[in-house]
Amino acid sequence: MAAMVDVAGERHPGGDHQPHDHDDHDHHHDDDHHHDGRPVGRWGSSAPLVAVGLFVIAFAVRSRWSVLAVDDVRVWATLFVSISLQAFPFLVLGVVLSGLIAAFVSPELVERMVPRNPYLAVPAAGFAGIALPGCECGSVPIAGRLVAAGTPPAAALTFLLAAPAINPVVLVSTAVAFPDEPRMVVARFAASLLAAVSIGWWWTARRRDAPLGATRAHDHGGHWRRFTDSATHDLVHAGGYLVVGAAAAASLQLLVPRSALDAVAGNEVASIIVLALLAVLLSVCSEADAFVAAGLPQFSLTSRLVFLVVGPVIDLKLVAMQRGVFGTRFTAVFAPLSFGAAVLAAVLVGQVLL
Amino acid sequence: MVTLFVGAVALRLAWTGEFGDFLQQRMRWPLLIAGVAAFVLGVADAIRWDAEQRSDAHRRRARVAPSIGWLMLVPLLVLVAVAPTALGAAAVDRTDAYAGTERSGFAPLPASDPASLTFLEFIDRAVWDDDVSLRERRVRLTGFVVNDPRYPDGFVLTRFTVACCAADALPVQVAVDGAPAPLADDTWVDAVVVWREPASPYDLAGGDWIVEAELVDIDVLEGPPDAPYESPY
Repeated sequence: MAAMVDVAGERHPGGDHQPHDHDDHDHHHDDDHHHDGRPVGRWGSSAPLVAVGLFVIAFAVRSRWSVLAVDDVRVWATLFVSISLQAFPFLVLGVVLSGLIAAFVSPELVERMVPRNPYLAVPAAGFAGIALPGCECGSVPIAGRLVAAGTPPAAALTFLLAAPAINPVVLVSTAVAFPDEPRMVVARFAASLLAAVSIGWWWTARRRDAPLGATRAHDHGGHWRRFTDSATHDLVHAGGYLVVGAAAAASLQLLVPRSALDAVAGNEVASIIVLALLAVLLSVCSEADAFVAAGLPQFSLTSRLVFLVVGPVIDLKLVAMQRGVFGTRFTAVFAPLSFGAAVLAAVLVGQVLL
Repeated sequence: MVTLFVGAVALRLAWTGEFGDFLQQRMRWPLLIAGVAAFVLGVADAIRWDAEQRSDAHRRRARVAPSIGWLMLVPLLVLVAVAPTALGAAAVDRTDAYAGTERSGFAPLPASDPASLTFLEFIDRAVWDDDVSLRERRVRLTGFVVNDPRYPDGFVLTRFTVACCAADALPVQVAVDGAPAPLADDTWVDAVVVWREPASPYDLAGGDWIVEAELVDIDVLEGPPDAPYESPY
C-alpha cells in the first residue's frame, strides 16, 4: 500500500489531500484511487471483510507458527505496539485540532491572527507551540491544516518544530528527569525554540515559493461534516505513516546495542554525533525522551541536550509522517535541515548554559 | 472503517487494562478518550459512506480515508498474531541498568516492616542517601527474576521503569543473594531484602555494577501486577 501512494512521485501537498474537492474534475487523488483509475469504492465495500479475514489468519498464525514466540520477535512486537499505541491519543488530539482548523479557520481569520511581517510571524508561531500539550505526532497534521487554511508555510513549520519540544508537559517531564539540573529545562526550551525559529526564518528568506502553498479546498457541508471528514482523513493518513515509522523505530531499538554507546561517551564530539543519531533512530516520544537521556549519565550534559532537542524535531516516525503529509521532496530538504539546525542550536545553547 | 477498528481496540485495551503492558498507567484516560473519538469519527464516516452507496451518484467519488490508512491495522494484527506481553528478561540486556538519580534530602523510610519501596527509590537511596536510610532495614520489592551467571546463588530482581511507553523502558535492578531454589526467568516475585552495603563506593562514572541485597523472604506471584512498569514521576 505504501508503494502505491508514492508511485505518483510528484506530490501536491496539502491541496490534493483535502477531502472535499467536489467539483474539481481533474484533481489528483493518488491516495484514493488505484492507478488503473478504478475507484476504491468497489473494493472498499469488501475491505471490512478483508480486514476480518486478516485477523482470523493472524489468530491462526499465532497458534501454528512458533517463530512468533521467539524472544526478539515478542520484544519487537511489544515495542512496536507500544510506540503506535502511545502516539494514538496524541495523534487523535492533533487531528481533532486539525479538523477544527479545517472546519472553522478561514484564510481571513489567519490573516488577522498571524502577523503580516513573515519575520514576526515565525517567532509568534514558535511561542504558540507552548499551548499544544502533546508530543510530536499530533503536530504534523495540525501544521498541514494550518498551511491549508492560509498560514504562511514558514510559520506553520516553526509551530510544527517548536510545539512538541517546548510545551509544559514536556518541560515538566524534563524537570522531573533531571531533578538536580534545572538548567536542562531552560536549555531545552531555548535550544528548541532557537532551532525552530531559525528554520522558519531560513524558510522565509530562501523558499518563498516552497511547495507548501496549498489551496484551500472547496467547502462543502456544514461545520460538523467538514470537521469529521478532515479529522478522519488526517487520522488515517498520518496514522498509516506513523505505523511505518513505529515499525522502523522498534526494529532499531532492538538493533542498536546500548552498551556500544559507552565506547564513545568520553569524546565530546563523538558523543554529540552519536546521541543526535540515536535520537533519530530511537524515536522516543518527546514527553519521555528526558528520562532516556537521564538514563545515559556517562554522557555530557551538552550531548544529552542534543538528544533532547533533536528528538522532537526529527526522528523516524516524524520523517514517515511528514513525507505523507507534505510530500517526499519537501521532507528530503526539511528533515536534514531540521537535524542540522537542532544539533547546532543545542551545542550553542549547551556552551552558554550548561 | 479503519478508525472504527482502531478506536474499538484502543477502547478495549484501555478498558481491560491490557494497555498497561505497553504504556504507563496515566495514559489510560487519554487512551479511552482517544478511542471514543476515533470510534465516533468511524461511525460518522460509515454513516456517510452508507448514504453515498445508496445515492449511487457519488459512487465514483473519492473516499475520505486514504488507503495508506489500512496500515493502521498492522499493530492490531501484531497484537493478535504475537500476543506481546510486558517487557521481561529478554529485553533487559538491551539497555544499561539504572544507577540512581543524584538527589538529596531523602524522607525517612516508611515505618512498616518490611517497608515497601519501588526499585527507583531503593536504588536512589542505596547510591545517594548520605543518611544511609536502607542500612539494616527489611524492604519489600516486587519484580521479576533475571538469572545472571555473575550471581549463581541468587538472581537479578528486575523491573522496568516506563515514563510514557515501553519504548522508553529502563531496567531497574537489584541483585539478590540467597535464593532458596532456582527460579525461571520472568517469574514474578514479592521479595523481602536487606541492602548489602558495597565494600567500596559505587563507581558512578559507569562500570558494570548492580546494587546488591540479601534475600530474606520470597513469595512467588502468579503473574505480573496490573501495572507491570514503575513510573519515574
